Amino acid sequence: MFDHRDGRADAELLAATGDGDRTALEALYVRHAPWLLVRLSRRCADRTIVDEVVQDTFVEVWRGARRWSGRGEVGAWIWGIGVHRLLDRLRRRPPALLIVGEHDELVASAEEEVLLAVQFGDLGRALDRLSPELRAVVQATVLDGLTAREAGRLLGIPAGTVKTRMMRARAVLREELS
Amino acid sequence: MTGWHVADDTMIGYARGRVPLSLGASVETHLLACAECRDLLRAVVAGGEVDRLERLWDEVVARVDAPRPRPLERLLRLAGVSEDTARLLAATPTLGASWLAAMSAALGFAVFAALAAGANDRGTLLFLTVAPILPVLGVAAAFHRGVDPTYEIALAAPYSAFRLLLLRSAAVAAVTCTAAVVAGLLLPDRSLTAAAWLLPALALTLLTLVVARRVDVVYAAAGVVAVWVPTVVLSHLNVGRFAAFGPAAQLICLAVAAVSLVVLVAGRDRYATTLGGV
Amino acid sequence: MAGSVVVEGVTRSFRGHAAVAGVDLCAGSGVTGLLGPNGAGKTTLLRILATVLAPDRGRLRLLGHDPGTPAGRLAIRRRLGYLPQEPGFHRGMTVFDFIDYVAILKEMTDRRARHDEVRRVIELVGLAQVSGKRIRALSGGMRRRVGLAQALLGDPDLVILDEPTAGLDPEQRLRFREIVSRIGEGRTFILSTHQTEDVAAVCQTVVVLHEGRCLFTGTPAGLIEQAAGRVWLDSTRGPDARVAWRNGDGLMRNVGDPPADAQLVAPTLEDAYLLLVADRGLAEVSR
Repeated sequence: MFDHRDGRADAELLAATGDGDRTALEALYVRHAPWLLVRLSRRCADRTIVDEVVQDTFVEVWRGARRWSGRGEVGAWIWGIGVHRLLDRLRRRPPALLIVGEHDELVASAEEEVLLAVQFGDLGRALDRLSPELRAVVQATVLDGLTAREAGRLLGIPAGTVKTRMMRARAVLREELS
Repeated sequence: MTGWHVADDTMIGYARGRVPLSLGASVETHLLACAECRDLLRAVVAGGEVDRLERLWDEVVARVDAPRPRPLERLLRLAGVSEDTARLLAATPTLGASWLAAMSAALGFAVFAALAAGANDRGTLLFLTVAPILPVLGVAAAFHRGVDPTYEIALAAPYSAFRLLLLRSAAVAAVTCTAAVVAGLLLPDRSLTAAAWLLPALALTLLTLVVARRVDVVYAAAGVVAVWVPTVVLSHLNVGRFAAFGPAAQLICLAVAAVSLVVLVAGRDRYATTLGGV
Repeated sequence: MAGSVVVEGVTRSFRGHAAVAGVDLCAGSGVTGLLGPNGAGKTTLLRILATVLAPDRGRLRLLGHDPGTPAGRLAIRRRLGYLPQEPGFHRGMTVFDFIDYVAILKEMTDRRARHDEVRRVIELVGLAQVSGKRIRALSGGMRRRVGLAQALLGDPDLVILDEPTAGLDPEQRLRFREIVSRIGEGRTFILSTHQTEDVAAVCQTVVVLHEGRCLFTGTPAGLIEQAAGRVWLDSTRGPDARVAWRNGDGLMRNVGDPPADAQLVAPTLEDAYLLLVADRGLAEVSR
């Protein structure tokens, strides 16, 4: 299925999906399921949960395609659904998490170092120097756009702890960058 | 767009979960907006995970294609009915919203009229006369050719038409009778209005189905009703108070119901070729 | 699969009027077309073949079984697909829902297998893009295809289609014929139509019905033969023309008994059909 190409743009595919076109849903799946799988796996180490969330997400895409506002990236909309489906699944089961940062670091190529310096600069390096727990809350709240309570659910910690860690992360970053 | 795209080895690293937060964050944010890099990730991932992705898609398909059960269907499944039977019943024309509304209106009217007539035999008689007619009309409407759109297609299918007939009639009768029993409990002469009409209802419904073997079910229903109403009224006036619901009458109804059922079952093969009957 | 449909002297009347008056028919694998004007008895005959109507008289053998017995009917229906002239749909259902519903009526109890089969026929008729759409939101041509899809469920050996191309525009009709000729092999298809192009395009056998009787049974080429030497062009309508009409070039196309010096042309299936029907003394011919 992954060799088949659909010429339509994402927005068009989503509109067609809302209209009951299953081939459009399939095209969206081909385009977005791979990255969704990886991104979810970086939040949750449990393969079964990730499998279920990917399914839940695309079933939800099918059922809720008409609800898309039409603005912004379809990918972002799909991630919004995906991360909330992940929260739903985790609510039902005790989480086995992957805390971002607990792994070997890939050395960025020289070119990327330069580009990163342009985009993130010291902030990027400072972020990477945060402890795993602080990095996890930053990723959940800033990158994934979750509320403190949702981030708590994702990481298996109380919402209050999320807030405290965010404050600490901000303090550390401010210190590093000044 | 700065023109920045994810390099191949970065993407591979990202896919394996081997990049630091800042780089990962960059990649993830970028992927939301860049189709080209999404394709790259797809190519990277497809190598190892294509089976997993295809399996997940099969599951999505299974869930997405499965028709969403309507509320009635879900109710039936909860009651232990098999999925196939529940789907067939849920598609019964007279178990739909419009029919239920019409029946509620009729019932409501009967109750209202009965209450308005006061603690008076007339009101009770009205209710007792109307209540058994409702399942008859329901069954007639369920099987009238004009109402079930898939009538002809269903006829040419192997599923036993007789079984469908019984299932649907039972479902319609059960629904209408339950509603009528509840309505009957609201009336003053409760002991009568709640239950005395049940056997007559059964008898009339089965009789309608039997007569419908010869004529269109709508005519059968009309005929049965045309015989029932005068019988009730005349027997009430000439034989005795609510004579049509007294013990003797109940026995007659039971007999009529039993005989009708036997006739129906004996002639069940007749339902297999019936463009023109039930 | 020779002789999967054998009809001998079948008669069926309604209120004293004979809709089908002694028809003999034999159909094997491939596509058989029933051609005839409205009221010719096509629908009645097809209903009899689809086991939804019993004949008053005559002998009938479908797929080796006798539809007069309950067991025979059941056996036939298990290998039968039928598209009635007016297929009704539960309008609120989606394409998938409806075909799934019919699949249940066809005794497909295993949910997974049934859904796979529903997807297969949806794909076959080219409706995959609207399988989630409600039928009432579809155009007439697409609804016909839904009807065709349900008739193909379970890969039946005998498929009966009553006026499947009625109301379709030329492009839709072409698509439909394409589907039928693609899957016609190895199965017996019987379809009715009053469009001669449908017959010319897909049928191996054609049966012309008129007022409940069979006027011709044979191949389309055989039918055309009947009009050989009986079609000519002229500036006006000929005295012995049964049927005539002005064609696109401004000339009159005459079908009947040509005068000696007539400019004969090769007959088409339509000519032959009209001639056959006209020879029976029809006052009004539908074109």
